[in-house]
Parts: sequence; structure tokens; C-alpha cells
Amino acid sequence: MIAVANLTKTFAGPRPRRVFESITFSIERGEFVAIVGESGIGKSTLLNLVAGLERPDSGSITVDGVDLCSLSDDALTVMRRQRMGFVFQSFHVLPYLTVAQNVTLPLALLRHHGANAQSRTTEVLRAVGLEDREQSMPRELSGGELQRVAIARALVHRPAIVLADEPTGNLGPDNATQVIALLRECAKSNGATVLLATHSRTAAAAAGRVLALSTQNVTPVALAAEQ
Amino acid sequence: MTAFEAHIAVARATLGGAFGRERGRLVLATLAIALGIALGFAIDLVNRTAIAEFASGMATLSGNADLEVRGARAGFDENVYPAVAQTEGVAVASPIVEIQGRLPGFDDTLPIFGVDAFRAARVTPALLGVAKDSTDVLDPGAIFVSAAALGHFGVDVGGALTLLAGTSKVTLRVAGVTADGGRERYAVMDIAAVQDHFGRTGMLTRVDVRLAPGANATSVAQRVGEKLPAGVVVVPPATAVDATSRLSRAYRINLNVLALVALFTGGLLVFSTQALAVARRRSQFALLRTLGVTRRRLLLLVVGEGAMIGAIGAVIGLPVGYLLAQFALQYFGGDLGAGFFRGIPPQVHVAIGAALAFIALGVVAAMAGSAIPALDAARAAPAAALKSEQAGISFARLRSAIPSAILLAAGGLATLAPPVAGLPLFGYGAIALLLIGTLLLLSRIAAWLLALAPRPRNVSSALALDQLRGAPGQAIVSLSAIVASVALMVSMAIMVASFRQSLDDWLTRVLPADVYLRAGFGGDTAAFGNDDQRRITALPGVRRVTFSRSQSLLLDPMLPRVTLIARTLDDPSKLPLVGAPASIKPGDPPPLWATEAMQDLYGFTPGQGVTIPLAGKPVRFTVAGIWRDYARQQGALLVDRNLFMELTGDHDANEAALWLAPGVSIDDIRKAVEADFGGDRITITTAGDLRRISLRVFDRTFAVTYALEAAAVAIGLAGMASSFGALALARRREFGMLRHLGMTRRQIGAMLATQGAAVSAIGLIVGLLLGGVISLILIYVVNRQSFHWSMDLSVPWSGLAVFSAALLALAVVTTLVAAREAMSEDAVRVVKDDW
Repeated sequence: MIAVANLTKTFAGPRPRRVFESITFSIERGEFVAIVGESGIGKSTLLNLVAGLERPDSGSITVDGVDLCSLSDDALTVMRRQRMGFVFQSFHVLPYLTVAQNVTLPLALLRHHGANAQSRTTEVLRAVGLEDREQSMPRELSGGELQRVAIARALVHRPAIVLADEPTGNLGPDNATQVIALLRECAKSNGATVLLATHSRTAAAAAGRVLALSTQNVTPVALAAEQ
Repeated sequence: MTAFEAHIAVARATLGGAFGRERGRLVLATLAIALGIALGFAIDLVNRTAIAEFASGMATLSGNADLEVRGARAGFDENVYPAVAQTEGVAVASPIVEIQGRLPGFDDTLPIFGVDAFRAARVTPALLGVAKDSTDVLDPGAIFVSAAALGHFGVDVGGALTLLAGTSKVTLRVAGVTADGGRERYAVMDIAAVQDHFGRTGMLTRVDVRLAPGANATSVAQRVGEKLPAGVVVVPPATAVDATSRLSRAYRINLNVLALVALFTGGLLVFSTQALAVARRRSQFALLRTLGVTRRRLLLLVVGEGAMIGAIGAVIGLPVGYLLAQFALQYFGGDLGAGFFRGIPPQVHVAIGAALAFIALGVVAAMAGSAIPALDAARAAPAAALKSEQAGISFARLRSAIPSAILLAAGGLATLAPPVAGLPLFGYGAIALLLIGTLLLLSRIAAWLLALAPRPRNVSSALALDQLRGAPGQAIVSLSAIVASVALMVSMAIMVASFRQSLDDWLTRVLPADVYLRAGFGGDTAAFGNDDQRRITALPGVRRVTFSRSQSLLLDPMLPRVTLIARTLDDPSKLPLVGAPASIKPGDPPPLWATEAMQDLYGFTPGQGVTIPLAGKPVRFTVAGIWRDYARQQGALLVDRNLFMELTGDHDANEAALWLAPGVSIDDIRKAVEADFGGDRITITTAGDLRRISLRVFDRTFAVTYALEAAAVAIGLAGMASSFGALALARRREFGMLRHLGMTRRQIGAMLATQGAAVSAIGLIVGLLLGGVISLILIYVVNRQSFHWSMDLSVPWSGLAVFSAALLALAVVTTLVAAREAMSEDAVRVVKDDW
């Protein structure tokens, strides 16, 4: 599904900083993988590279056999639109759209309109427990509810991959646990592969596989859940 | 830390953010204020210069006179002079005959004063000739020309000067210069010589009076007045300056108001900038509030920022205004093309008081622009503002429609009020109230219009409209400047188009003949005598001729002279009448037709009996109707020429209207006139030429107003682009998220373009409608009260359509350019808080 081989990334600047050097790993379809590591190690950069939002210095990233490095910016955009969903730490729910309109956005970008799109939106909102908040505005929702809207938006178009970076970073412990469980269940029911970047041991513990990221390599780890 | 240091620390915490992050927009707002100040100050300087030069010229030519006896421009019986001179309290009376002479090859006239040198020496020293041979001042063939006129007309002392007056040509010897002419262009001769040479025998145009020591001016004026015939008055010399400056006052004030429109738009730009700056700093202000800064202090700090913008703008604007004034005086003249003060030399008169007033205006405009954002900042709840991530614009206090309704209703009522001191102050007030009332309603109007629009299927367009629907406060910020400038531009366009069309129609009605002959050049003093009239009637190829006689009469010394036109009136219904004419009953005084200015200034109404001084006698007339006249803002009266000749015995004519026989050309007539009268003595013009000249003068007069309006629209557009850019920057995280979701840069560009187009379209719709309403106020209230003429509404649909399309396209382009910074942001970087 996702294959990363000999990936090297350096941030340019007056004092260039090498983030990774020749790292390799792969993720199978339907897997829920957590990337952990100390702050600043490059978890977010790795997700950006997989999303095609940044380009590596060398190495390759293939998604379903397609080398992202060979694609143009527009092609990468189309690929994200069709095959990926995103969950952000700060939710990034558009304040001027209703809950339903926010969730439908990826479908609208794929030009899916009408009854099918509507029923799919309702279905996903039901799955995240917000079926009664379809017409609510984001300002009327709590942080946990907003992140559930974001999860629904990430899954509404049945993406092959969901990339989630610190989705529990702005949530309390109870909400965080609920959101991760929801993300796992929904991804599973949609057959989506999830790549979760987190520093929360609780969140990582919910993943099927945990990879620890360092500058030189990515290594599997076994975690005990946080108390 | 002292209290002062504490104040500085708080101010730095507030202002540092503003001047650091909003630098570009602050510079733009400051420049907009500077432009408004520059335009206003320039027009004020030009107006002051024109009036000061005119007053100075009048003072030079009035000398030390305490009183002045004057009447119709053509003059009055010279027997008035001994009567005045012998009045108790009069020390010296100096008789004067003034005529307008024309030099061959020049369009402008040379005022020639015929004086009694011995009398003038004691009252008006500037009206004395200076010659080596003192007897030259009494030589009927000698003329003394001011230094300015010598230079202008290229004449030398000792040379000959040929003057045209009436239909005769006189050549005089330039015997010397005038005693003290300053920058005035004029000439002086012996009074008897002027009367003889220029057909003014037995006539005077002025008697200057110096009072005996200790004499009371009012008492003397009363005693002199008792001896004067009808239509002749005695007044202080300054009255003439007041009357003439009053004629141009409405035009000058209208220009000032137009210049202030640019300042008003600048104030709206400050409002947009401050609203965005306050929105950006909401959490910063909340922190300051949490740390103990009071609401009042925060309010004063934000208003203080506005004051700084205004002060800096004013300081930049004043020197620019001075340079603009110099340029305008050089290229347009003291009247900016309107024709009130011809020949005023370009020398700017600066008044320190006016400069300080304009600095204050700039500061007040910018402070007013900052007031609402400042209130918004001060009233925000600190806890909520600290938590809020969105830099939204709320304007909670503007949500009520009641203040707008009150302002709009007050504006409507103000249109019904009469002028104040001859000025349409309530008319201007009505425009300001309607403008502000509409601006305060903008978010509601925008929300209503956006609600009417269906949700497009295209995701970019749908998101664009959804975002606008969700942020009503944004409409006020983005639209206020553009709505104000478009409304004022549109209103001016409709008013000018209506005026031009009405003028064109009027010219068609008042110029029915093919060719017009005018005697010499110089108004009342140049005329066709009986013999000339017979020769004109006998010109070959002329089918019909009518003659007219014009005289300037003084009905009220506080007002400019009105024009009495005596002409053949076969069918009065062909006059450009306004309203129903009065029916003249047998036994009523004879009919007279008055212009709208006479109605407004002197209260003439159809059917009313009025007394007019003719040939020194009061004559009763009945006002038979009111007619439209765009040529004489000071007022005009029309009587039948046969009646006029019967009443006055004056058979002269100033103008002849010729209808040509079929196949006869203007060249045929020109040749015939030149053969009979000589080339310089008669001005020959076709109706087409007169029409073209009139419309050219009209267009030149409004060129300045177009320039001022264009400046206001440019400021409005810049304001819209600026606020759009700022709002786009504030939304860059949203754009980053949308890029993550698979939106291309092109789609985000399309979304912003749609928003630019939608916002501009709303601005245009509101601006066009408001402009339409304001144009009605301009046409029916401001113009009527300022210039005393009516006009028919004529909307330049095609021009407005082109303007709208161009503005829409320009707005989309400028918003896209302004938003390019936000669009080009790296999608990863803008959401890096999360990744």
C-alpha cells in the first residue's frame, strides 16, 4: 500500500537540517500504524511526504505502486483528493459551513452531488455520533465534536489512506480516547489505511503497529498503554 | 516604572503590533488620507487665491473710496454726478466711465476707465496716468495702460493701440503707464475722451465717493441714495466683491465638497485597515485587558492610532496640495475652468488657518474611521477573545438596523429643507446621511443579496459564497470604501449626463437661427445702431433677421447684476418655459419672462407684478412665466423688444439672429459682413459653433469634478483590494487545509475570484442604487439651490454599464493580486501548528 524506501529529507536554510537519512518502511492496506518519536524528530514531515505535500531529497514513496516523486503538483493534488483523508490537531473545520457542509466538502471536490452524497454524509455523521448535529454551525460544537466532524470529513469519500497528525493534541483525555477509537473503527469499516503521528502513548497504543521514528531509521516498538 | 513609562509600554504593546504587521495597509490608508487632504487643500488654495486676487484687483481699482455709486453695466445719466458731489458729507466725488475694449487678435477684453484726473487723484490713484508731459492725461487721443496689460497685449509706451468698441475702431497713442496697477490689466483715459470715442456721451458707470472727515457713511449713503434714479445705488465698494464672489461661491463650495469625498473615502479606508488590524490583534488586546488595561484606555489607544494616521496623512497631503494648486492655477486658472475669474495670475495664497483646519480634518477623518473598530476592540470580552483563534470581524454594535433607519429617514427629510445662506447645506447633509446610513446597513444588504443567490454546484464558487454568507462583517470592511466612491461617481455621472443633455436641448431651443452676429466684444457697451441694423437686414442671402438688446441691471446691490434681454417675441411658448405660464389679463402691466434664478433669488413667480428700473425709471411688469437659462446664473429677464424700445427709446441691439435663404452658406454671410462692416467689428458665429463652444466649456468645467471622483474610486478600489488581501491572509490556514483536501491552487484562485466578483457586484449594486438616489438629490436639490437651474433626468445607461463592467473586472484582478500572497502560501507551512 505505502512503501517508503531510502528516504532522505533535508530542510534547506542558512543552517540546513537533515531530518531523515535513508529510512525504509512499508504499510499494508487496512493497517492502522502509529508513528511515534520525540518532538521535532520529523513525524509531521514524514506525513507530509506521504501526502505528497513535500518532496524528498532522495529515495522513493510509492502509494499503490505509484511513485509520488514522479507526479506533478496537480496530479498529487488529485491523488490527495481521491485517495487520502486528513485529520488535523486544530480540526480545521470551516466556520462558515454547517457540519454537514464541512463533511461533504471532499465529495464536492470530487463532484459527487445529490442524494448519494447526502446519504453518505448522513451515514458518516451517524458513524461519528453527530447525526443530530448536521445543520449545526461549528461554533456550536465542543472540541471533541469538532474533531469528530474532522474524522467524518476525512472518511466521507472512502479514501484509501487517512493521515492523522496529533488528532488528540487539543483534546482532553476522555475525548482523546473516544476520538482515537472512533478513528480506528471508522477506518476499519471503510477499509482505510491509517497513518497516525502522535506523541501520546495512549493514542499510539490503539494502533495495530507502532513505528518509532529516528533520523536514521524506523523501528517497530511495542507499547504499554499510558495510565 | 513611572506612570508615563507605563503608558508608553502599553502603547508600544498595542501599536507595535499594528505598525509591524499592518505596515502596507497603514501606508495605503495614510496615503488615502494624504490624497484627500491634498485635493481638498489644493481646491481651497485655488479658491482663496482666486477670490483674494479678485478682491485685491477690485481694491486697487476702487482706491480709497468710501462709497460707490453704480447701476446698470451700460451706465446711468451723468447728471447723477453733480447731485452726488453736492451732497452733504461728500468730500470728493470722482466720476468714471468704464468700457470693455477689445484689441484685434485678442479674445480677452481690456477694461478702460475714463476718469477726471483731478478727482481720481484724490480717490483712486491707480486710475491715474503717468506721463512725461502732464497734459497728456487730458489728451483725448492718449491712453495709459497698466504694466500688466502692456506685457499681456504686447504694447509699448509711445506706440499706438487700436481698440474696437461697438462697431467702430479707435486708434490711440499709449502715452504712459498707470500709476499703480499691480497685476491688474486695465487702461485709463480722460473721461470725456472715453465718452466721445466709445459712444458713451452723457453716461457714467460709476461715481467713487470720499467722505468728508467725520461724516457718517450710512447717513451720507442715505442722502445720496435719495438723489439717485431707479436702478442706481450707493454702496461700499466691497459690496461688488461680495456680489461677484457670491456668484462663484456655490461652484467653489461644490468643488470643496467633492474634494472632501476623497477624504471621506480615505476615512473609510482607515476604517477597513483598523477593523482588520483590530481583528488580528483581538487576542493581544484580550491579554492587555486581562493584565489590567481598561476598556477606555484600549479605546483611546486604537483611536489614537487613527489620529496618528490622520496627522501623518495631513502632513504629507498639505505640500502635495500646494503643488497641485500651483499646477491647477497654471493650467486651469483661478476658477478651475468654470469661467468666473478670467485672467487671474497664478500665485498661490496660503492661509495658515486653512492649513491647520485641513490637518484637523485629516485627523478627525482618520479618528472617525477608527472609532467603530476601537469600540469593537474595547467591548470584546477578554476571556472569549483569548480563546478565539479566528480573527473574525464582528461589529456587534452594527447589527441593529435602527441607527441606519434613523439616518436614512433624516437624510430623506433633509432633502426637503430650503438652502441656508444660498447654499444647499441640507442637500449635502442628506447625501452624507444616506451614505452613512447605507454603509451601516451594508452587512444586512450583503447578507440579503447573498441569500438570494443559489448555491452553485461548483465547489470553488459554493465555498466562496458560503464564506461570504458566514462573514457579514467582512462586507462592511471590504465594501464601504468602494460603495461610497461608486455611489458618488455614479451620482455625478447621472447628474452631469442630465445636465449635459438638458443643456444640449436648451441650446437647441435658444439658438433657432442659422447665424448670430454680435456687435464688437464687450457686452452692453457694444451695439448695432439703427443704420447697422438696416445694413444687416439688407445682407444678401438673409431670409429673416431678429435683433436683441442685452443690458445688465442692478436690482440688488448685494447680488450680481441681472441681464435684461429685449428681443422679438413672436411666440413666447417657444421659450424653454418651466411650469405653466401666467395668463396676462387686460389692464395688467406688460409681460416679462424671468429665469429660474430670478425665481429663487428675487422671488419672482408667474402672475406676480414686479418693478424693474429701465432708463432710470421704475417700470411695472407682470411675470408671465419662468424659463430655464443655463447661460446666466445670476438671473435674466426677457421682454419684447418693441415694448423695450417704446419704454426706453433705446433702439440699439447687441445681437442679430439670421435665418439664411436656401443655398446660402455661412461663408457667403461672412464675406458679406466683412465687405460691409470690416473684419474685426462684428463677431460671426453659427448656432453649431455656439453649441460646440458651450458644450466644450461645460466639459472643461466638469473635468475637475471627474478627476476628483476618479480619485475617490481609485481609493475605494485600493481599499477593497487592501482589505481583501488582509482577509485572504487571515484565511491562509483555511486555504492550506483545502489544499490538503485536494483543492488545486487554481481552484482556490477561482474561489477568491468568485468572492472578488461577488463582493464587487454587491458593491456595484448598492453603489449604483445609492448613486441613483444621490443623483436625484444632486439634480433636484443641490444644483437647483446652488445654481438656480433645473434639469431633466437623463441616465447614461451605456456609460454606467461600461463603468460597471470595467470596475468589476478591475476589482476581480485587484483582489486576486492582493490575495496572491495568501494563495502562494505553502500548504504545509500554514498549518504547521498541527503537523
